[in-house]
Amino acid sequence: MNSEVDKPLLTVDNLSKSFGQFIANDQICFDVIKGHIHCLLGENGAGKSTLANCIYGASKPDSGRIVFKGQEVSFSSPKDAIRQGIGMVHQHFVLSEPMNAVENIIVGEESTGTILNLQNDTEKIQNLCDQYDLTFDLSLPVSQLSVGEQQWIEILKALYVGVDLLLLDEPTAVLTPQEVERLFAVISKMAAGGISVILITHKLDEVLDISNSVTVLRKAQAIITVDTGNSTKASLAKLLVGREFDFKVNKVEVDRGAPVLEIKNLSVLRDNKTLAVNRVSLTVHEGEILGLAGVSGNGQSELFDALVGVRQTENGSIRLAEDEITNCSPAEISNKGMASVPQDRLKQGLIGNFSVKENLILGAHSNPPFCSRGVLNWKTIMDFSKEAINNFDIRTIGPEQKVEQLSGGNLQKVILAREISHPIKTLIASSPTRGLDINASFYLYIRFLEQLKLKAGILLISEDLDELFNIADRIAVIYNGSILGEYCIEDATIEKIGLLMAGLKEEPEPLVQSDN
Amino acid sequence: MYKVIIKLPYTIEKRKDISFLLSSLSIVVALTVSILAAAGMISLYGEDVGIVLKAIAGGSFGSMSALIDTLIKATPILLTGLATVVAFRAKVWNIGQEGQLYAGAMGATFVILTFPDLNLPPVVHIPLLLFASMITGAIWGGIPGYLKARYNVNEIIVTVMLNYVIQYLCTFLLNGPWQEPGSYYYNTVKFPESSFLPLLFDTRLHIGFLIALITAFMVYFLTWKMKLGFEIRARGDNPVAANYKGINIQRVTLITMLLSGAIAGLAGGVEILGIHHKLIWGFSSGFGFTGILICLLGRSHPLGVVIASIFFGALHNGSSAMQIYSDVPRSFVNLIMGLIIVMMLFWEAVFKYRLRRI
Repeated sequence: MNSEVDKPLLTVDNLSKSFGQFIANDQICFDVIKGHIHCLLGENGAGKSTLANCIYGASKPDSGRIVFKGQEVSFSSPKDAIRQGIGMVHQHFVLSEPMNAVENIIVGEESTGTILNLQNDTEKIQNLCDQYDLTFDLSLPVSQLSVGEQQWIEILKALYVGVDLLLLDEPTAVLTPQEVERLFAVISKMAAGGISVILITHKLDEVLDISNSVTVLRKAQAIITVDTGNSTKASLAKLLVGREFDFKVNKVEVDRGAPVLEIKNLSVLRDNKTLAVNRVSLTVHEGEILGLAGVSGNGQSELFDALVGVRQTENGSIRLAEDEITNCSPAEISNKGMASVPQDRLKQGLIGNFSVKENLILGAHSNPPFCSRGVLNWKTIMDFSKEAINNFDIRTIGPEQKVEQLSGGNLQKVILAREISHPIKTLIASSPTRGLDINASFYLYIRFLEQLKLKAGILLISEDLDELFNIADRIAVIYNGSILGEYCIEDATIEKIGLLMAGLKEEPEPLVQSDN
Repeated sequence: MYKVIIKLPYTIEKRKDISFLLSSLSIVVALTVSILAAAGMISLYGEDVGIVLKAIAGGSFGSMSALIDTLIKATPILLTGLATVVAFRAKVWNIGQEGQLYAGAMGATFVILTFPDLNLPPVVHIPLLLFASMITGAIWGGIPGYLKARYNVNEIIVTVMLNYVIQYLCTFLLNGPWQEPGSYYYNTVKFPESSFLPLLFDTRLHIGFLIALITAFMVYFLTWKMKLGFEIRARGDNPVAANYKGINIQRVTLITMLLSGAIAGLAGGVEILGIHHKLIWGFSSGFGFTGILICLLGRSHPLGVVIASIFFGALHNGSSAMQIYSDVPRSFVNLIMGLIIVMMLFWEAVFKYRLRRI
C-alpha cells in the first residue's frame, strides 16, 4: 500500500480517443499526485487538449479508465466533473462581459438558490482573493478588467466551487511575462493548499519553472512521464520533437537597405469609432525584420488591416517603397508589392471551401497569366499550383483538395506560397506561427529569412517573444495603440519588452502591482 | 435515482467529406421515401396507387406531347432556378425571383405596347423584347442589390417586399392603362406575331426551353470558368478573406443581384412571349418561388437545376392526367413536391453522418 501522500489523486489508464480516422489519444497513462503541479507538454496537435477534455468530461474517451479519488469515473458532461471536484480554465474565457467578477463566479453555481445573496457571495470570494493574494476590483464589469484579471475570475470560479483538480489549458498564451509570474504564484499556492493542477503547455520554460512532474505527449502518445527536477530544457525538447533540436535560427546577416515600408503618424479607428492605433510611426528597411510585440488587442489587428487596405486610416501616411499607399484598395496595395499573412488563417487568409489551387491564385486571379478577358486560365493555374505545392512542400492530395481539410502548418504554407511566389517589397505577418508546431514554425522562419536576402522587408506582428527574439532585428512594442518603445535586438531583453507590453514605460523597482 | 443507459456498439460521427456518389445516393433515398409516402397517402385516400402513379408517369413522359408539355412547364422554373443559383453561390439571399420575373414580363410588354408599329422581323423583335425583359429584371434585382452593397440593407426583406410592389403594380396596369379595351379580364391585347417565340420541331415547344438550356451552360461557365464567377463564389464562401485579397465585395454583391434579376426577368419574358402571347394576370403560378426550391434540389449546380426543373415540370404536367384518371386532386402534386424537398434536406443532413462500430 502506498502512503497517503503519494497516492495518486487522478490516474489515467490506457485512455484512447479518436475522431474518425484521426487518433488523438493513443493509450495514454499517467498519474497526478495530490498537491502536485503536473504538466502536459506537447506540440500543437499532440493531443493535449483532447486529453484534457476527456478528463473534464467534455468528450468521452473511446476506451481506457479514469480513476479519480480512488474511484473509476465516467463523466457524461463537465457538470459531472465539476460535481466531483474537477475544474478547467479554457484558453478562451467564458465570461459575461457586462457582469462583474462576483456575478460571473456564481453564475451556474448550484448552491446559489433562487434568491441571490450577493453580499454573502462577495465576502466569500473576497476571502478567496485574500488567500491567494489576488487584488482587483470585484465590482467592475469584466470588460474593464485586463486579460490576466479575467483569468483570475476563471480560476476563482473553480476555487469557489471547491475543486481538487484544476486543468489549465495554455493559460499563459495571452499573458504578459509579468502576468505569467503572478499566475504561477497563484498556482503554486493552490498546490501548497493541496489542490492538484494539470497545466497544458507547449512552452518548455513554463514546465521547468513550476511543475513537479511532466508527461510529454507526441503524436497522440504519452512518450514518458518524468520528474521535472531531473529534466533540462534540452532533454525535454528532445523528448518533445523526437530529435535533437537547435534552438536558434541560423540568421545570415543581410545589410539593411533603403526603407520599404514607412508608417508615419498613423491613426486608425476601431469599428466602434474609438481610436485603436494612435499616431504610430514605424519604418521597415530592406533586409530586416521589425518585430512588433504587444499583448493582442492593443491595436495590432487594426494596424494590420490599415496596412493591407481593408480599413480606412484616420490620419497619417503609409509608403511602400516609392509608392504612397494610404487608403489604397487591397488589390492596389498587393499589386504594388505588399504581401500579407493575416492572423486568422481560415477566416482572413483562405477560403476553406475553395481548393488549394483556387486559394493559391486568390487575389492574383484577375491578373495575367491566370486570367485573360475575364476568363480564368485553368491550365496555367494548375501548372502554377503544382509548382507551388512542390516548392513549398504543401502536404495535400492535390491542387483540387479543399483547404479546410489541411492542417494548420499546410494552411500557412498555402498562404505563404500565394504571397511570396512573386517578388515583393514588404511582407507583413501577424502571429504567423500561432498554433504551429516547431517544425512548421522553423520552415516559416527560413522562408522569411530568404525574403530578406531578396531585399524585402518584414513587419512581424507577434505576441510570442521567443519568436521575436529569435528572428527580429529590431523590436517595437505596441500598447493601447501607441508605440511605447523600440529596441535593437542587441539591447532588448525579455524584461524590458515585457514591461512595455504591460504599458509601463519606466522601469519600476521592484515590480509594482498595477493597483497598489 | 434510476438512470437507464443503453449502450450500443455504434457511435455516430460526422463525415469529413461527402463523395459525389454518396450525395447522389441521398437524393435517390429521398425520392424513394417521398414516393413511398405519397403512395401511402394515395391509398389512404382510397385510390389505386398503381393507377395514380401510372397516370402521373404517363402524363409527364408517356408520349411525345406529354414530354413536350413537361419541357414547356420546366422552362420558366429552370430559368428562375438558375437565377437563384447565381445569387446563392454568392450567398446573396435573393428571394425576389418572382418579382423580377414579373418585372421581366412587364418590360417586354412595355416595349410592345409603347411601340406598337415597329414592324420588326422576329429575328430583331424577339431579341429586343427579351433584352428588355432582362434589363427590367436586372433593375428589379439591382435595387435590393444596391441597397445591400451600399447600406447593408437586408436583401431578403427588400426582395420579398419588392415582390409585392411589382405584383400590385402589374395588377394596377392590367386593370387600367394596359388592359385590353373592352375586356372583362385582366390582360393586355394580343401581342403582334413577330414577338411570338418560334416553335421547335412543329410542336408546342418554343425556343424558350433552348434559351434556358443555353443560359444553364452560361451560368456553369460563369461560375467555374470566369473571374467573375470565382469572385461570386469567393464572396459566398468567405467574404472576409475575399476582401483581404482585394475582391470588392460591394461590387460583386451588386453584379450578382443584377445578373440574378436579369435571368429571372428573362424567365418572365420567355413565358409570356412563348405561351400566352399577352401579359395576363396570374401568368406566373409562383415560378419565382419554385425556382428557389429547384435550386435547393439541384444543389446549386446548373446541371442539377436542369434535371430538377424537368422533374418538377413532369410532376406538374402529370398532375393533370392524375386528375383525369382518379379522384386525387391536382394540388396533391404540391404535397409531393413539399415532401421531396423536406426529404432531400433531411437525408442530406443524415448522410453527413455515419455509424461507426466502437
